Amino acid sequence: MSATTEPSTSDTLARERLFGTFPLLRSERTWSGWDFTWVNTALAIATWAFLVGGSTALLVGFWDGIAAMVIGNAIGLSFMVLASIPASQRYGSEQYTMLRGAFGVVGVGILVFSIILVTEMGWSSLLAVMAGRATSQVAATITGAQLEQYGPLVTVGGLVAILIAWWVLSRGPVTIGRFNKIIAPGLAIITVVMMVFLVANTSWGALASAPPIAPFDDDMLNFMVAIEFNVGVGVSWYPVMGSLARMTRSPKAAMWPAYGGLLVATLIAQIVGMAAALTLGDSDPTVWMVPFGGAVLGGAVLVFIAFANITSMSSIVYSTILAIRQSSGRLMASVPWRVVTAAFFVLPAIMTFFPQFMYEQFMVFVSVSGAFLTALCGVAIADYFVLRTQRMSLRELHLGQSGTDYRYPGGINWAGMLALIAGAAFYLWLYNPITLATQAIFSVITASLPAAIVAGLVYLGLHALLHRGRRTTLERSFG
Amino acid sequence: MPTPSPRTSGDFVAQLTATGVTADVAHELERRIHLIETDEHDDPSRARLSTVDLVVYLAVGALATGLGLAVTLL
Repeated sequence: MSATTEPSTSDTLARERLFGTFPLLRSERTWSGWDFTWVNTALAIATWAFLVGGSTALLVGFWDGIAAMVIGNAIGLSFMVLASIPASQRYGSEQYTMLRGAFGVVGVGILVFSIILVTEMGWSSLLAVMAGRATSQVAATITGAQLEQYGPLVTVGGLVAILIAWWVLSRGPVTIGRFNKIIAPGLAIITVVMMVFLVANTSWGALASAPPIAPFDDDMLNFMVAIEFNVGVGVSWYPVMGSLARMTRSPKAAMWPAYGGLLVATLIAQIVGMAAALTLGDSDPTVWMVPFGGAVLGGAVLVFIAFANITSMSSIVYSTILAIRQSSGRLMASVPWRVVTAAFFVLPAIMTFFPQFMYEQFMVFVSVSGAFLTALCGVAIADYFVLRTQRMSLRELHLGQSGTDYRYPGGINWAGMLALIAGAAFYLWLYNPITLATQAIFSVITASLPAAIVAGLVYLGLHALLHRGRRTTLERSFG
Repeated sequence: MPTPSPRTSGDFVAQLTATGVTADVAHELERRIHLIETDEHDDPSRARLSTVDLVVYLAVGALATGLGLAVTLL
């Protein structure tokens, strides 16, 4: 190999730093609690929050909607934060490396290439379709033409959004950061403007008494499904949070900003989205923006929403690609960044040809992915807090199958994998989001929290059974 | 047979490079882990969550859920 094609040592180290291979040192962990609060606020006040608020309005009215959002996000975020943040923050390592004890090196790869990848591809597809819908609405407003709600322009707009997102992504995290510095405050301003419009154009009494848009016959089922949907939204932050939290200076600077920042900012944006949807009778923010804000302001906001969705796509895909890179080992080490990112967008691009499906199955998608993510969280919490007592070996984590502590037959810790399946199956038994079949007890205990507890308990039981005598608690905290 | 857990930094680098990790990446990993287990061992940024921390955290989560339940009574 010639000197011009062989990467230099500094290039290799820089690339591995970019991919999050190294545990961060004190001097590199620069985020204070406030810094991390703003990061979380910027993430939470995204366009999907309006859509979640609007979708909640399909099932319940204003007060029940607020209750479902508070309860759902409070529960979902509480165990999502515990599962993703403390381990990554303490060790300064990205979260998928920290999962090697619970699932094994190959097991983590399987999870990343199934649950995490499908979840993030689903959200990316939804954001692309939403950008396409915004494009179509702006075109209809400018031309005065009657365009189909899920017409070809939605697909074209979605595909263009994906293309731009790929371009932004291919430029690296610095470009994504630059775009987010514009988008996050812009969305905060839009949220405030929408609140002002709501207060000015809607009476409190009308809002409080507005019926849900498309509820089921059973009021209790509506409320519990709304809660479960919002739990799913809270848990859906799991794939990105740990890898962000490792940048913080202390456990307190990580835990409280993640929980509080996401909870408060999400609730504000979701409540605005729900109120607007109840007022105008449609759950889709791209539909109610123009009637709500007028042709000029509504159109401008839609353009901004399309742009915001592009940067949101870039951000979540960036985190996912890092996870893929970390869990695939040397398999994908030589695949160029642009190729990996382009490959990720293939499925979302196909889904833009089925925009109606994506919108109509949004709640089902969030709940089903939530079933698996909650079970994953249950296993991660049981592993880190109970089995390892918050002590892990960084050297052993990086050695993986070449070491002893986190080495499993075939690279898979079946205790973790079977526990995850048991937790998700328990969730789907309590509440099946596709058929809406529920057990009577679902109305009391919901599905996510019990599923996480079941997954955790099954993991501890199976681990004791399958790995008897294996060292789980270290004498030292690091090393 | 599983390889014994690395007792020295030399073992760790050797085991890591045997898996195909380049020497410079293995040395950088070892340098960082060594700093974490020595210089930063007692640093507050590396502290475990205490029982009190966890109880307070779970209590706040329960309180937020309770607030949501209270809204349904309005």
